[in-house]
Amino acid sequence: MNKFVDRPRFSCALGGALFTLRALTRAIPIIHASAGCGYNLYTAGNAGAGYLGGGYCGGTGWSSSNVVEREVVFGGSDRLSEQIRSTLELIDGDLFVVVTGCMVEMIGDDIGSVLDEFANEDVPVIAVSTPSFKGNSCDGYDMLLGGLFSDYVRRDAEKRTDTVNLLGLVPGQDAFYKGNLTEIRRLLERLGLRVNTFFGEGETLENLKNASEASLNIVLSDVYGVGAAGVFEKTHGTPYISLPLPVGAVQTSQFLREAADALNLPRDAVERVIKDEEARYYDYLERIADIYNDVDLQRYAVVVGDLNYAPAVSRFVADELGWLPRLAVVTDDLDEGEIRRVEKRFTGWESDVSPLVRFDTDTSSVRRYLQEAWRPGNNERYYDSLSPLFLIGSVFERDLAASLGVPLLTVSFPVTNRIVLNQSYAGYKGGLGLTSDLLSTLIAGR
Amino acid sequence: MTIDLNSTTFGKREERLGSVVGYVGTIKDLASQSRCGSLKDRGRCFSQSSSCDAGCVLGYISHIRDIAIINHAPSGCTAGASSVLTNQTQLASKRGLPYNTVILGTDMNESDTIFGATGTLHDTILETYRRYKPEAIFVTTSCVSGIIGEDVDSVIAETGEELPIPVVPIHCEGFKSKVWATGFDAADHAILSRIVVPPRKKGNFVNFKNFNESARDDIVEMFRALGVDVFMIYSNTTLEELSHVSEALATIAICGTLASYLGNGLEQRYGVPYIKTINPLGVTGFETWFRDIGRVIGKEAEVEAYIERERALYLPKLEEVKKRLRGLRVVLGMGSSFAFQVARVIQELDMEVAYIASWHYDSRYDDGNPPPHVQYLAEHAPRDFDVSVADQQNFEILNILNRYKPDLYLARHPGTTVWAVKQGVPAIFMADEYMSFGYKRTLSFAYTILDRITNRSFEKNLSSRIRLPYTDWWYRQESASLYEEAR
Repeated sequence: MNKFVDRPRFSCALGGALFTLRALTRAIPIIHASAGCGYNLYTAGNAGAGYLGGGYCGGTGWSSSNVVEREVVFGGSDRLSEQIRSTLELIDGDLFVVVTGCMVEMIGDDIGSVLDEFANEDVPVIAVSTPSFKGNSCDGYDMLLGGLFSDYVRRDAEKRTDTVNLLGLVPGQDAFYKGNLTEIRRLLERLGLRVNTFFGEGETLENLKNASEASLNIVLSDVYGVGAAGVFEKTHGTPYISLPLPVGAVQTSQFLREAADALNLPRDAVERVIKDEEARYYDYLERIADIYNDVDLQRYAVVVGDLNYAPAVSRFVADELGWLPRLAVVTDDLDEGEIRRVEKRFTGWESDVSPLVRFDTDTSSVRRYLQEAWRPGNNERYYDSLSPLFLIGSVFERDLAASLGVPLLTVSFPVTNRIVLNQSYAGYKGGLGLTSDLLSTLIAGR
Repeated sequence: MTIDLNSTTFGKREERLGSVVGYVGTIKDLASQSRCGSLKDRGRCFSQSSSCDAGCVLGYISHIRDIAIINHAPSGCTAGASSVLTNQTQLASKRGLPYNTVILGTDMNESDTIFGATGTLHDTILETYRRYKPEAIFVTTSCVSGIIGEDVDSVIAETGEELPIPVVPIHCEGFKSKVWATGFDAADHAILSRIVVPPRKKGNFVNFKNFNESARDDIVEMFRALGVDVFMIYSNTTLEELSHVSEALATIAICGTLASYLGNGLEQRYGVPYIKTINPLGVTGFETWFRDIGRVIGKEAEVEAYIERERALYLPKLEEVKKRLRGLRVVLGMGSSFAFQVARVIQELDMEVAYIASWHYDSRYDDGNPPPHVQYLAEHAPRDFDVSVADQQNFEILNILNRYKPDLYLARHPGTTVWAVKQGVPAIFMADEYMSFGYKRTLSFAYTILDRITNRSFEKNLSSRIRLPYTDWWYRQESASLYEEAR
């Protein structure tokens, strides 16, 4: 059977849309759904994202029409209209976005005609259809951004060759989204670019509104954000490229070269930036050479994570730490084409190491794949065991880590055992951060 | 009202208990309207996310060890599973018990909303049994399964015959009841109707319905002094243990909202007396409750001896600390029982109850009587004070805090005290239901309050540097100004 959620690593489309809006300064969601949707999704998303919190108006602060049996029977349009009107009076915001839950989609509320009543308000009110049954939180990110790109982003902007938008990191689903976006923006700015990430430090709705000035959208994912980038291209004529989330020096230098090529930036300027960044990076990384060798910190690795993190982290530990990743489990529910795109990210590594790659949404499957990746012992006189091993995944891997007696670092949703603030795993800075987190786990007893 | 255990469904709180989610008035008015049965619910033209029956059920039923819960719902409804399971795993490990309960979802998608997903549900039940071998499988329903009219009961009846364990439906569609605490009843209904068996013999124990059993050791010792055992439910129980709650001497509870259905159900069906007094928070609450237990199970002398011992130990210290709390003004935002019970403790500690916002309010319990804690508070409060039923609505709470400017905000339920803190009001999240239980914990509660108001730096710094979402217009309105007329 294919449909069976065993310890869910994603929330639903509505959840993805809500956390994307939570990351967008002064954008106010209006949830048209049952009373529990907003709060349940907040509880899951908050903890899973390393305690992202409700932000400006999230969690119990989210405006929500709280439809009950009456609306399910008679329709919820009147209730929605009333809720939008009162939200505009109560909540101070610059953009109001109606997002919908399953039940109102199924009862067929005509949201478009409700929105017509608010066409002349001082602040824009738009609606994006985000029913849970249409996808997971990453799909919700795409739906929401797609809606914003069509209905909010300026249509008349002049293209600027020096401007790009960054897509592909789903706020909340990626607990480190803000640190990651900030680091990638920093690097692209060093190439002389203007960068909109929409959710990065100091950004406002103006970044989103003027995003159509960009001459390229860079999607830091093989799947997330690709749909929205397609909508953007159709609406605003900006093409996109899809590059993997870069973690550490090897991947980030490659990322900068590919991004620069796509933008036809002069190669020598890019190389100068890379050289400078790598010099700073290896100045820090050199520090661990002593301890790494003195106590032997080489490890086998098993990586369980979403399609952004699983390949990037596996490659990082292989190419940069000299570890031996033996198994990578990608936890997204993907179609054949998407699987092929993600599989490619596990090949062509500098280290020439390649883990067994499996695609599975079920947490309980990881143990089975482990037996596939490493032949279990059979009472031989000598057995080469998969040890010492390091597990990199989510908190769902805690039981597995405990039963194997190996350390675990959580990087992929849900990350309920960490407080995540401005940490990044992307870029050069992220590579150092990941190194520090992995090796600190190993020497915690010292 | 009689609890019907022959059906898989049951009445929601609005119908059974005359529950409301919108009311504004005073404690004396609320008490008198509860007695007359005249309380009318009021809707709102603005609302914010709160909770639903299904969320309540998942969080509560998962306290039971080694079961499987299948949420027949789209993926988002099951997204909270990780937080829930983390909590329950920690509660079990505190007691050194294995905990292998799993929460799964059928991940209903778009085609399921058109063609139904009873096939998926059927396969998921069988696969869940194959993988996890749970003691029972509970299937919870959702808005989507409810709207498409999935015949969950038939699928369950079918698979139940194929499997050697109980497969039990819990009907908890999120839009069904305005009162999410109906979810407690949904869980209790499933346990009472499908798990509990008739008594083999009378046991020498009381059922104690609670949430997280943090005071377990003290409670065990307390009942040992009476010569009886205590069975705390549902946290860390097994199904086998639960099946014999019908053999108890009595059912007691930390919270009337939580226990009304199971307590009254056991009393009606098996004659197990349900203790219905005010609950054991604070000194008066504890003594009233414990004496009633002593009376019902015939242990009055032991109860009096216990009370005398504990009084001597704690009351002098309590008198001391009260001097330092005197006059502090407190706003409370909690469920239908705790809000009024903790308010009583606040008054006992010589603080002033400035306002109570009850999330919902049951005008009566399943025995037909109005909640005793509201009657008690109305009779004993030094003065009448303002009360609303605010459905966990954050905009109302912040308006109230702005108007009443208390020294302290007390709330249960995560995600509510954070807003008080962001607005600069010191707050305590009373997640632990035993936070003011009995003498010892009433004393530590008093110290916790002292600690909280001793250093206000966190909320002071934060509130002066962040922006809250509400307009000035809203802060100028009455908190209940967006209520509709009573229907």
